Amino acid sequence: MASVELRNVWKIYGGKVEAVVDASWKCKDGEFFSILGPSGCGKSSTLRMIAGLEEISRGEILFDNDVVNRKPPSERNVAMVFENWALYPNLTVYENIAFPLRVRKLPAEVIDKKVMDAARFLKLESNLRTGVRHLSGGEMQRVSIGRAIVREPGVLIMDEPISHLDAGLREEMRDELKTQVSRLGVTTLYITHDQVESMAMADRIAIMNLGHIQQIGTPLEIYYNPRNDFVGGFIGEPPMNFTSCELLQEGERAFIQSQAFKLSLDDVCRTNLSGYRGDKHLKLGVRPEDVHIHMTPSENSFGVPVDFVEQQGDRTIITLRIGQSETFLAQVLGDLRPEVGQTVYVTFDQRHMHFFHVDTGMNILYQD
Amino acid sequence: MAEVKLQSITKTFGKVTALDNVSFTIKDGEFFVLLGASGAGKSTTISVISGIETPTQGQLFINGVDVTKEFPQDRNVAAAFESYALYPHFTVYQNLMFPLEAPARKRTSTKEGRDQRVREVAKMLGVEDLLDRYPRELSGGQKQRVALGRTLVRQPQIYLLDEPIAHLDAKLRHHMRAELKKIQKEFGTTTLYATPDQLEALSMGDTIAVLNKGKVEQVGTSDEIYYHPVNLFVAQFVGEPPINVFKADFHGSHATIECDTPYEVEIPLKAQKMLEKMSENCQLMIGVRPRDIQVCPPESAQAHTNGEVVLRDTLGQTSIITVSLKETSIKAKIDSDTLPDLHSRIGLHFDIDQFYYFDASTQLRLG
Repeated sequence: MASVELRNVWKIYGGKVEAVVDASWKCKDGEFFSILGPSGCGKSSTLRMIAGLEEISRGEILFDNDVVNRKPPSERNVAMVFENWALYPNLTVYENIAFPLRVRKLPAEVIDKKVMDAARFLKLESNLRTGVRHLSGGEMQRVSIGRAIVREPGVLIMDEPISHLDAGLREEMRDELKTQVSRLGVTTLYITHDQVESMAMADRIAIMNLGHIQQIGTPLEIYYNPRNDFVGGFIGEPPMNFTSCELLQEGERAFIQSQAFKLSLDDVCRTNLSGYRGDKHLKLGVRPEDVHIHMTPSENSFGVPVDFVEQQGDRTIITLRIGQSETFLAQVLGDLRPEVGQTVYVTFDQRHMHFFHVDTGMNILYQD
Repeated sequence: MAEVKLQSITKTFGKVTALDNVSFTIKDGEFFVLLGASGAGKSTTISVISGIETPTQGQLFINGVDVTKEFPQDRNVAAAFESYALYPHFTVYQNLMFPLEAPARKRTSTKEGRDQRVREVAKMLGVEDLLDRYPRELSGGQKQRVALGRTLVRQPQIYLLDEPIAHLDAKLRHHMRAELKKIQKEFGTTTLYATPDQLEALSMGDTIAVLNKGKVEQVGTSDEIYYHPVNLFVAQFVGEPPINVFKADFHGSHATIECDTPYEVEIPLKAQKMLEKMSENCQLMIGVRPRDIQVCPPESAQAHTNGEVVLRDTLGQTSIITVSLKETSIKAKIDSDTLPDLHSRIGLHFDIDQFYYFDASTQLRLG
């Protein structure tokens, strides 16, 4: 097992396309580290440089404090699990798992022992003689993990291993994957565009966009303390609501005002903002779960019409029409069921209001 | 405007029974969702309604008329499938225009009218800036929207949509769900929508049919399916994470739940009355939704059972923990503020009023 460190790593294609810009982070030995971002963010280029499939344009990559820039893939001891699992369809489970060992020409008894150990560990013993095309999705995934781990890699790289599965199965696989990987204790780099997967599985997440690392932190750090509006909007489902607003000071009291509402700030929020001296025009971000809905007006609430109601079992997602063309989503747990077109009254959980700089997108309350 | 009625429809492909005696009615103007895992029979149902497949047995009625033997083109239905099937040598505009230029439709419309319709739909789906592009120049999500648009430009009596937004990313999918529902309500076109995603089904369907291995398990509103599932399959399929299920023994006013160390709970009166009607030797199963479980100190008085936290899935404000007992494991949905440490021992308290009761042999829900 190994730690993986990137020091000012760049990937530049054709001398001008900057796919990865000055990335620096360290994934500790045994850590489950996720690289998260939309397509084109540079996550795949990062992974390919780590695996040795792609040259590093600038900077250094270190495994256990050794620079591996010049090492070929075969000497980096990295194993990969792909989105399509890339199993050999005409081989049995046993042969698929044994394959990387056969390539290394290990003695038959050693291969057998390693395959049996992996199969026992992944609960595949009863399927060893089955052709992989007869397996369920979950079993195929376990075979692909098995094939990756028999080599006892220092680093396990997973590239969107479950992204293409049906919703229900994906959740099942997520738990299974996390359980298997944490039992193995192997350093894992998990690449995905799905924030739910990263949030649910990773010890820490590096969020990328347009080649730049946006933030690195634990799931909850990133969720409650997003560094900028990209991170705020990318993490969380349904996504964070944004609207432009202005900070107002009237005597002792402070307000935020937007086209649709003017709200008085409570003590907590005022204290949070007391040190802020920058531009009064800001971008407000509020998560749907922090938008609270009431059927009657109350102090510091504002009335808006309901645009759409989605009943999702134990939660309801309500789309609210805020101003001319903007909508806000509210997540409600429990029995509140307004009708479309009805006016409801909204308050925000002021402990979790996020304010972003209009031009830079930086969170003005970000705590490093 | 159309009502669609499937009456005892069976469809077999060789030895495989894809649909097994399927009956349900889609009311005029309804948004009807077919929910099921892959292989449940969703696409076959759509093929049968559209006329691409003929049922082996049973009848299909549209507005009370038996159309089982009618050709697809005579049914006035429009279908969109998960695969895009766009014409690669046509631009987005041409792809969207194509269905409107079928001779029968061309005769009854004007050029301006058709152009307007294409632009209207393109705007609705957010592809109005892509009209001059070719499919190869589009992302997967954009292609899918164009494919959907090609279905929507027509104004048929029924829309059949087979996982039409499966390839969109989460944010766009959310937006498209609301848009589709709005379009459907505005035009009032009877719509059948197939999806494997229970959340999507619950949030969109006026009525939902849960399909399993070619059979209809339940037809009902989102609330009926979630709060009053007819059997164990539906209860486990709907709700994320799935409901926890335990064996239990009912005796008088109490039930012994067999999760790890047997735990005795007093059953609420209403449920008692219902369970008393159960036959003597019927094995009971109790279901508890993850959100109806709270964390409490281990071995404390409130704890119905105790175990070790083996997984913690943070979803933001809420988290899902998996707690391992001796033989089984339990999932609970809790506030992230109260997240216990990994591998710590905790107690779990069940909200007894929210129990679901099942007959273990028939798997049917009691009450």
